[in-house]
Amino acid sequence: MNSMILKTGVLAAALSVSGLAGAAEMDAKQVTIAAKALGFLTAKAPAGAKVVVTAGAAPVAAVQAALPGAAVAAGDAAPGAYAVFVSSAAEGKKALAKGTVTVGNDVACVDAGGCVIAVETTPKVTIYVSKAAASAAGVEFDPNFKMMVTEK
Amino acid sequence: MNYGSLEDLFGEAVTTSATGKPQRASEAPAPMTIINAEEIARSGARTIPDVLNRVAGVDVEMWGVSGADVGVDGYNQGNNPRLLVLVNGRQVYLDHYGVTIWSAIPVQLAEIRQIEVVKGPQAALFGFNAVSGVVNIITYNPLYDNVGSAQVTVGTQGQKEVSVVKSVKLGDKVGVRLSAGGWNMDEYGTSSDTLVRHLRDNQSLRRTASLDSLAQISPTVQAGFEGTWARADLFEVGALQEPHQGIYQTHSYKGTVKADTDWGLIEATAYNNHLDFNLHFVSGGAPGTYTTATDTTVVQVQDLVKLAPTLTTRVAIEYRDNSIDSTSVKNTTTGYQDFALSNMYDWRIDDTLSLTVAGRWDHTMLNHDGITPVPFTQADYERSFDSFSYNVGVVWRPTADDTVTLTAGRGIQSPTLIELGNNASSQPVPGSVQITGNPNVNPTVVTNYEVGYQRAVAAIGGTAKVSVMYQKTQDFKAINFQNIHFINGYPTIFLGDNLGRSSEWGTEVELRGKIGAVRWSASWDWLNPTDDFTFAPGTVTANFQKSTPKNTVRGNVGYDFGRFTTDLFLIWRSDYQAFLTYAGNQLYTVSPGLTAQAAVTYKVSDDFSLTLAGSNLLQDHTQLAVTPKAERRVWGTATYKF
Repeated sequence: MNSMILKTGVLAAALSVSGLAGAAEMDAKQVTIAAKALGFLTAKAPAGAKVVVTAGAAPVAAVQAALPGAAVAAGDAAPGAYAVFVSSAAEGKKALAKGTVTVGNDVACVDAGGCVIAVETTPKVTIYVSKAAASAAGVEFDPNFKMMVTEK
Repeated sequence: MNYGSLEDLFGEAVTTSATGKPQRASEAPAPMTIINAEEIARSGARTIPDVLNRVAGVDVEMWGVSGADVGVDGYNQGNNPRLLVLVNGRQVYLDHYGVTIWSAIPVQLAEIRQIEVVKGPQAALFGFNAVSGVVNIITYNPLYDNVGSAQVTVGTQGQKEVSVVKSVKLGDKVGVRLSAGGWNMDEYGTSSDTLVRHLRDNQSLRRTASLDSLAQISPTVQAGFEGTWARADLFEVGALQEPHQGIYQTHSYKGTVKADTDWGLIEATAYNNHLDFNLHFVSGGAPGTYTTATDTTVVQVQDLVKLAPTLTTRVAIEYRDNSIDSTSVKNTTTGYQDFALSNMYDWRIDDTLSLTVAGRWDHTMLNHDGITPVPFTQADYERSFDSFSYNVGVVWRPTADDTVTLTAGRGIQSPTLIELGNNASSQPVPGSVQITGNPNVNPTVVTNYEVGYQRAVAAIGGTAKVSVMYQKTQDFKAINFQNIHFINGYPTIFLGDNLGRSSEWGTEVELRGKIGAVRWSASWDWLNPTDDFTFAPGTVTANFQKSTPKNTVRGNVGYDFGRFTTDLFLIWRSDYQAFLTYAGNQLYTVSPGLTAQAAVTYKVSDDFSLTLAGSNLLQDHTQLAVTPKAERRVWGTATYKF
């Protein structure tokens, strides 16, 4: 009995630490909205553009389904890809570079300037854009899109 | 603006009609209804007024099979000058009477992405005539949208229609959308009156063509050109509530440049609208005609800037030049030039609260060229005046399901060119009666206050809306044949005279939902105007207390199954009285009662569909307005998408 309580406590503590480390993985709807938002970049993704998804950022299959023209793969946060879906601001800052757009699974990543965009879908679709991160990535969004998103 | 992609991204309609800034319909700080292309297609509606008739708060007076006036929140009349109608921002209302001839709008229903109906004054954004509301018709974008549609319609009462719309991409950077269409059909044939028959014996005719193009000049600059042509012949009711046949021929040119700059999103637009107008009427038992032409040139420059993440401003300047040719004396024009400056601030205070404040100042200068105006002098036409309009809107969303909107607005209804114009002979007989426009007429001012509440209701799979409004109209304008002014020795009747004021209370309730494959909506409007005019009752064809249907109830239900789409629309309006100037001014009782429209569409394939639709289905003859009754009409349409 005591052993079970101990194990449960350890599991809860582990989940708590995990929660502090990063937000939940993006769900399919968030991924779809994020992919649509990337379509408002003035520089469109070339066919076969490399997209990297880090562990815990989003389901790779969902990202591939949302970006059918891209070459999507799991990987580490690093510059060089067209887009990197990241699970933390630290990862975002690691991947962010000229030509690489970072997509966060949490608004905190946009707040910290590590992610160019992050999306919320409840209670309604809200898109957050970091002006600093967009500048670091050297990307511009459609001006009407910019009027409708929350810029940080 | 790529309406389709933005709508797809945010999961709801997107509009610029409330503030000039792109925003979600649910966040617009104005009472607004948006009808999308899918709703238009499945309704089976033939015309834009048919579509608008389904919107709560909108009143459509169908004078003939295509002649109609559309009012928002009451005060509807022949040649209704209170509504501003735009196609992609270009005004399509005609400045001679400030009227919209709906069948002369050079747009096919198949090329409309959405129709945005904004209720209440919106003059701080759109300028003159946006006093009872704005109808902004948004077509598919030639650069972003791919549209191809051919429709052929055949119906009872000689109805024959054709419509073609096609987008063409010239590489990745240039898009063109072409459209053309027309119809012939019999006017309502239910009157045995010889003179009325004379006026409507010619068929309703419509021919339109348009070209709209947009080019991506650089990653941050777009340029567009639009050219249109239209002709419409129709039986209708005019500003004196007199029945006549109008023949309208219009053409327009418009150029637009839009640039995303370090100073904001800058947009420059210039357009010219030309109208040739020919009116056939009966006066004293004898037929007559009235012919003239108008030109309107508008130049607008606006800058939309996000000053901070939560604060957006729009600064705009506008130049407008309107003129009308004199008739029957030729080689004289009357008109005005207008310079306007407007500014809007949209502040998102926090996630639940936003505030929008907008103001516009207009400086209007009259002009008169040609023969000396009689009985006025040239000096009378050197008048100028200033006017100010505003809009304030607060949107509060205390929960994800609840939205409260408070709005106030003041709009300016400019004198029409007929009201200002001078048509008098250059050397009239001394002391003879002159009937002329009036350079001293003041604009009508409309002020509106409204509170609205909307709630998403999961139980009905939709929304519930309720609103209450109060509106004041000051310096109401009309023609008063009993009111003789003495101008420089001539007894004179003004075609434009300020004749008092009116006020109105109104309420609107609407439920809209979808349960399974069944779509439905229901609404109730109540309007109660109180006139305070300076003329004796019956001397002027205006009596809004009697001519406004106080209650209007609408119901709409649709069910989709297999390859079929069905739609049934019912509307009931309470009895009212309306003037018809025909052998004198007289009020007639109008009893529209319950009327029905229905449509069934069968999708033969992904590209080809057949629609059977009908209007006024409940009776052989239905009284839709003070004019002759409408027959039951049925038509079939074949649509091919390519």
